[in-house]
Amino acid sequence: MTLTRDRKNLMLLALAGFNLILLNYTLIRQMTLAFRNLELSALLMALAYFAGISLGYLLSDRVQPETIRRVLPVFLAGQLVLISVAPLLVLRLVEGLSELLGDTVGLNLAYVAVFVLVTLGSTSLYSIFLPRMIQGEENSTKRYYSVEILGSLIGLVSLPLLGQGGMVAFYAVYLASFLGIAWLVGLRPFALGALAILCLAFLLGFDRIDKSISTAFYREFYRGAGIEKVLYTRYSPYHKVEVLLNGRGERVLVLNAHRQFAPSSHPHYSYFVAEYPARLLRRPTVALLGCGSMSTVGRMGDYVESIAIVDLDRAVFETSRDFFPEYNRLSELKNWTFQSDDAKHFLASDTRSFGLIIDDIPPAKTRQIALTYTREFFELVKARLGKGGIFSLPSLTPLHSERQYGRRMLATLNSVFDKVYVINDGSSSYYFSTGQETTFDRETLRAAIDHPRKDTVEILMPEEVTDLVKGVTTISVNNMADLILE
Amino acid sequence: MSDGTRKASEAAKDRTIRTGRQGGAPTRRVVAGRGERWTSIAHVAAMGLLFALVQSGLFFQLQLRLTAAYPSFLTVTLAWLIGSLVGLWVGRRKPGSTGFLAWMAASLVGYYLVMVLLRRFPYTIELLPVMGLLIVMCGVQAGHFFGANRSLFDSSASLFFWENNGFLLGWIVGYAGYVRFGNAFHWASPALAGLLALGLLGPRLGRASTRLSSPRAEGSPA
Repeated sequence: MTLTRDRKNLMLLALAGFNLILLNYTLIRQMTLAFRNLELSALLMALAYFAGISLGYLLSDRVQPETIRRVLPVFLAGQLVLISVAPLLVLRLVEGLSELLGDTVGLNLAYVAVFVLVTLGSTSLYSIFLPRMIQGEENSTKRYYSVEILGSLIGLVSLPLLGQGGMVAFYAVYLASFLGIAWLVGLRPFALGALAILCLAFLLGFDRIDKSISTAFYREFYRGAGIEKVLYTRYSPYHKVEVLLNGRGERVLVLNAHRQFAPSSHPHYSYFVAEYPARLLRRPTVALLGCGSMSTVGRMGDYVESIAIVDLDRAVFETSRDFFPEYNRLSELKNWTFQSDDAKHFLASDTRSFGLIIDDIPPAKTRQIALTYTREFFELVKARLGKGGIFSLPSLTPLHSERQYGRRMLATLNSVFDKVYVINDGSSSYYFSTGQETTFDRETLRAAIDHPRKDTVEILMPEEVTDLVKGVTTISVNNMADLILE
Repeated sequence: MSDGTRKASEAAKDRTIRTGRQGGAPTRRVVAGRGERWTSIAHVAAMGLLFALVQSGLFFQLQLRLTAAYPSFLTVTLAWLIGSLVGLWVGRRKPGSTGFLAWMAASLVGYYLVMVLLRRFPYTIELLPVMGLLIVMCGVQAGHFFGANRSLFDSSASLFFWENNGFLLGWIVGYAGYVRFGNAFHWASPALAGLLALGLLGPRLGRASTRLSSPRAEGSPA
């Protein structure tokens, strides 16, 4: 097939635009995950992505086509390495540098190193073409730029479809597009063939490589947890969902490299968050915000009228349903429904009132999650809480620790709800917020505990909570960033 | 022909083939003075800053007051790109002309209408298509900007480079601004960035069509 030069240029730009979008979805996400999806890492990786684009523009006039042809295979190999070994690479880098230079300097240098790697090895390749072509022809800006934007639009629209097909299908399309670019810039057939073989090998081995790297990462990161292997991996637009197996044959749920559920939390955490308030209220209707393993559903299922499970990510729900049935008992219980929705949107748009609303959303490490710990969010919860209802919110930050996190959360609840009761179980605290009409005394609260720690947990009454949070700044959408960055 | 010249000539030829360039040397579009060049750079970077602040404001406000689900991200990105595409093909190709002002105004009006809608009707997902259209309106300015300023520098790569650097800075400023000032930052920053971009272009408004976009008037070799 012979293509005119103009058509080649147009195709090249369309593929570059297409791959820029796909690269943002995959490489940047993988690198962010490697730093365990913290707000700062997400920002830094996004900056590296754009810095790469700047670099491409800067070099656009200076780089000869032969140089592009030479570095293309290096780019491909580099990107494949980054995509597949990112978590382990970052972990080793952080550990190695921290050992040499101390924790803070080591981590910061690791960020710098990864930033440079992503800047050099990702987007710069794709942004090199557009200015070269525009420069070459009068009045070509709108034509060439339009084609690149069209490529990006196609990439964007394809993302949900590609996501459905799994990461192998996703990478297959990305790599095919990369090979298309390599062909269009005139890579020799031999080199093109070698790259195609490399791509094929990567695609065939991706699942195995991904699991092996993850296993090695979690073994090192969660030393002492006895992680044996990764049983299952699934990528969704929001999470990398993984199920790990530990040495005791137990399954562990991991979302974006954060351990979300381990069986050891079922008897304590899930009891206090869900079963305890459910039994206290006697068969309430429940809204469970954030599903995780849904161990809470299994604990309270027999004591409630109905449970509306709400989570943004259907992939988490489906994974937990399939891998944690002994904890969530979804096949046994019939009084639950699942709704894939953002918790804020659900609370604001659903017209039902609930006797018990449970916030089982992970700690606020990113802006998106931190929004669910704000005064504005709690006001939405309050509006959906029926008369005599309870809002149950756990905190894994000990109330009496130096960190403000738990106390700020409590102060915010205290500013929105009439009364807040607290059960303090060492490293975990459980906050129960109610309206004016609900009153419990300490004895009733303790007597209602059906758990081995009944006599050891500390119970704080509303007036004690008010004293504890006096002078503590509440959390709103205007200041939640310092909560994330604490 | 010397070896070096031949190599250079071959390289130029090769580059022509690969990039579609019609001539051996880059088409020159040199702006008048050194000072004016830096003002142009600052203006272009300020435009990048503006685009980033508008985009980050939209992303976050939709996440905050509509839904954090994927449709929010998709709508902002898709609508912005469609707007940019439209912007490349509409309006007069003259920076500093009323077209520039009109599209900047349209962009800011689109942005603030989205903000008002989100504030007045929070979590109303049915409004997403309307917001999408308003975001298209925001994006038109970006496309128009690139179309109009292609000849601002001696190479189009410089235009993209400086705009993208401004964009990069915009992400940093957007994040730091939100951390420091909260929601109010998303209300104030696009208007301020717009004023900055306008201010940097200001002295040349009116005469800009000859100073900046008419390369022949600058004695360009083209």
